[in-house]
Amino acid sequence: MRCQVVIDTLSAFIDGELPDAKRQAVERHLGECPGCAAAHRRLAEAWALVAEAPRVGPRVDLWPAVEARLAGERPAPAWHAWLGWNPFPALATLALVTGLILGLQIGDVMVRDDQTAGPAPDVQAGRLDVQYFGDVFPGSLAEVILDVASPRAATEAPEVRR
Amino acid sequence: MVLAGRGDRAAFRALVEKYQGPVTNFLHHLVADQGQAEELAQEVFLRVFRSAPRYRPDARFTTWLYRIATNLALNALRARKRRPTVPLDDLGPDEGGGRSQSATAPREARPDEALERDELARWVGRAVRSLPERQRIAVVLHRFEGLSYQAIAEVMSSSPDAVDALLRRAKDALRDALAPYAPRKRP
Repeated sequence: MRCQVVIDTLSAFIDGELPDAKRQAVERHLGECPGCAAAHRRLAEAWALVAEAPRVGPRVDLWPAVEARLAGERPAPAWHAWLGWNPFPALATLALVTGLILGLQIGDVMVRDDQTAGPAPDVQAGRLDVQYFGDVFPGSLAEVILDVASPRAATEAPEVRR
Repeated sequence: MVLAGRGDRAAFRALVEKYQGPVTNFLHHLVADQGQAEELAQEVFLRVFRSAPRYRPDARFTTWLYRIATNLALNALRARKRRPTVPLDDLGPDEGGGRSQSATAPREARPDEALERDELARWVGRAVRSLPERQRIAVVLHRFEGLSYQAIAEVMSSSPDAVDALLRRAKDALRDALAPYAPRKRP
């Protein structure tokens, strides 16, 4: 094993992260090479010193503060968490857009039906067929309001219903 | 964690009490400010609680926990770069008011030994904090929290080889920074 390869693997060697075969090769090399052995010692010493760094825990138990911030809160349900956002505004928008599209489609179909059917014969003739409104007696308020002339009313006497 | 995900407050409390020390320590090494480390630790646990239902039992909990902590710490550091302030803990861990304790310090030591150890601990703390962010994260996760290269790679969304490279550069820098203290450890 070459010295440069050993130097490059010293970090992982010290951390015990090398596979067995490679670790044994490095160990053999360190036993035979004073330069690499010295480099290994310096690095291992410095790494051991790092363990002297102070460990800093919280000054007080964090649970009361965490609990206070969680007051009234429950973990989001799995499907909600999966979505990763609040779905209600999006669902409301989706429903609105769907309703709008459906409304436009239905309106379009109705207009096309009217165009296909064409105007009623009486309308074509310039008058409204009063059968849509039932019988209109001559001189009645309905006649005034509808402003139509019932063909029957014009030609026949009104029927008296029993 | 599974119980916490179902809204079990007692289970979540046990989880907070178990990990508040390591998480605060990890964050303190990254942000170098006791108060901010505690605030961020609270935020870590809130996020853990809120996203607990997403947790898959096959994933290692500490990996997930430290990933959340890492992201929050990096965001805080970026925000600090935009609004530069002097962290109080630059004065040293004791001045910061935290419950600091050297990882290897014995319970009882002679006063001169304790002073020497405190000085060394401060020096090491500064050396670690002087590392670039990603090297520091890798060092703290490996040296203090005992995570493997593979686990660190998962936390950092990286590869074990990249973690190896980070730790190699970090060790070289720490070796140089701590050279004045190295002979003290020799027998």
